[in-house]
Amino acid sequence: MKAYTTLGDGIDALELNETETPAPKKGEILVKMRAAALNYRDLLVVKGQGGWKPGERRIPVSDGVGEAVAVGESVSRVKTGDRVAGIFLPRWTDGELTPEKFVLPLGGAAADGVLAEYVAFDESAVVKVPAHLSDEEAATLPCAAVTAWHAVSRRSQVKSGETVLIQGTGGVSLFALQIAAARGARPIVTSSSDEKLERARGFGAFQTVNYKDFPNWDEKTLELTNKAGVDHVIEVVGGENLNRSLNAVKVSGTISFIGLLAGLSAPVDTWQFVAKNVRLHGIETGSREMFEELNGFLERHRIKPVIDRTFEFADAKNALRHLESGAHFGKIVIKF
Amino acid sequence: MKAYEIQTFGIDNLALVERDEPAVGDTEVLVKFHAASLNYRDLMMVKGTYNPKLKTPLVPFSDGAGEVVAVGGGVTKWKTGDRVSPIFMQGWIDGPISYEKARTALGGDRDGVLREFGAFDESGLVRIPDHLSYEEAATLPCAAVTAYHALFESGNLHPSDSVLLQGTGGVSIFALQLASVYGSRTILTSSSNEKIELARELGASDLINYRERADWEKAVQELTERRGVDHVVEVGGAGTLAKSLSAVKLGGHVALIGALSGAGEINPISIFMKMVKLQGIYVGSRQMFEQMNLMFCQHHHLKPVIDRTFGFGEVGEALRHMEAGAHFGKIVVKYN
Repeated sequence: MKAYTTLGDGIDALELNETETPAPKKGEILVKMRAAALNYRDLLVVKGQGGWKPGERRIPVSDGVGEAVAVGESVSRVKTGDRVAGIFLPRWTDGELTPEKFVLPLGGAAADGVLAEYVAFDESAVVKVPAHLSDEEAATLPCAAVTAWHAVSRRSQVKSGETVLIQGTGGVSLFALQIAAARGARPIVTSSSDEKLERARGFGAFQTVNYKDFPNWDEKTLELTNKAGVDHVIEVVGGENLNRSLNAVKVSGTISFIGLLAGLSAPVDTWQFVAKNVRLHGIETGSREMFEELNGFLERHRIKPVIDRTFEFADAKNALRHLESGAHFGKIVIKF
Repeated sequence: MKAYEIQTFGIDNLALVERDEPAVGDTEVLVKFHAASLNYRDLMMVKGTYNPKLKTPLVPFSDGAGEVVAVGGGVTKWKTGDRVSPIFMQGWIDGPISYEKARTALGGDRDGVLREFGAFDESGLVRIPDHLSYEEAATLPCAAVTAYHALFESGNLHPSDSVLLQGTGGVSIFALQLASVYGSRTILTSSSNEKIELARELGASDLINYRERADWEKAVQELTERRGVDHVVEVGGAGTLAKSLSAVKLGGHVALIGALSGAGEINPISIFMKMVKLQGIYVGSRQMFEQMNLMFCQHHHLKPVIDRTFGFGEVGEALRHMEAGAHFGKIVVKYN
């Protein structure tokens, strides 16, 4: 089979080679991949940033969907022909995240991902994907959509009529927008592009703030909520941005924190947390059980992921470059 | 009646004045105070560091205990002779906090308890447990309710959980007593071996002298088989938050408390990679106070730890004693 591998030495150095097709061991299934989707984290792995740098050649990319074409001995959850996606943390099937489950994320420094024609998964580490989604659409779910579901539904517990500030239009943010809107909430979306904000309105944004026009977007948000502040913030930036989120959230509000972008440590006004009784949740993707719950929700609400552009398998490097450019709105997909 | 007023900031400027006895409104209760207790917030309020724009004159101190000596015509809940304490935020009866509720704090937004008589709405009081003296009861409204809120409301403490407590200030000692009587493991840090022994007598499971172990967050990891603690009651704010985030377990809970907070370095990676739940805690509602009284006092017959009791004429000395920081337990003022 063909597979891409990386040493964390950049997009150009990504290699596409012929390797042996894995045979499913006991308890495993063999999946013929049909589509994969990119996350910002995949770029960090391919570029070898910090702890994301692989120690040996690794198959990158965590998110993908395919068809089970063979099953190993004693497999009972999956049968040949099922359309499945691998879960981001293969050992986190349910319950709270523990150190034992928090290992070997797909396509990370220590485990292979899905940018290969065939992938062997433990049968417990996959979910069946919703029938109303195409392969390309379903491939976008494992990392960003599950993270958004965990944040919006499990941690912040967004309810009908509540306001949710959603930062930017990246993968997690767009899923959070669609989920929050379907729950009857009033999403407020920020972006630096009026065009992206206009598109966000089409996916359920109730109000929008262009943070180029309003660098003090927190004050603008307070204005939009009659000074009350928003019930929830989906914080994806981190760093000093957290202070603005603290200002924009209401007393007793929640902030779900998925802060890959800024990454750096920053001084944060801890007194604001105390005085406003704010709850901050760190979010690290989610379990298989959350993924399955998300799939049911997507089916009931007929929600389809937003796809920016689809690249061919042979064109995977350009897909990563497109992600790097930051011009996309929606998920970037690779079709096998 | 006699009352203390903050007119200009500074312990020496605290004025003992003669005021009219308050009139009692239709739904109000007149309380004759017998005791008050000090919190660090009161010291900051007197010195002007809590709120430099404080509206003066203001009667300081939030925590007091006394007896009902008169009731308005519409009062149904209380009768003359009842032993009561005013709640910290007069408007926070139950449910989540709001701006309106938050702006009703005694000894800050409103006149506090450092006076012979105070009139309070009948909804703004709790009954004092029978086994507590006025001096003991006066210690509860701020620090004990905060500890209860942190552990049980925000943290959903379980007997099998471990709790890290910092120092031996009011909130930490109440949290130690509440968590210990509940059967949870308590790990407490202090710089004084003498205070460590006192904490051991109160039920602390493990003790760390942070003068001897500057890397106390590593000591906590060692004590918990490198998993970290389930809960941290974080009272150091800016200075200790980063270490607390190291000491807490994956998916753990950090309750952020305290007037000591300022701007703190928050590493977003440690929050979201560890899926930490960080909750700002600002005292609690009357309903929490009542639940705390049931648990702390009626079920377990715990008694607050009193460090030293001063006379009504010795409030300046009491504040200086708090400022010195050598106390273990609450500092109380007894009204003749």
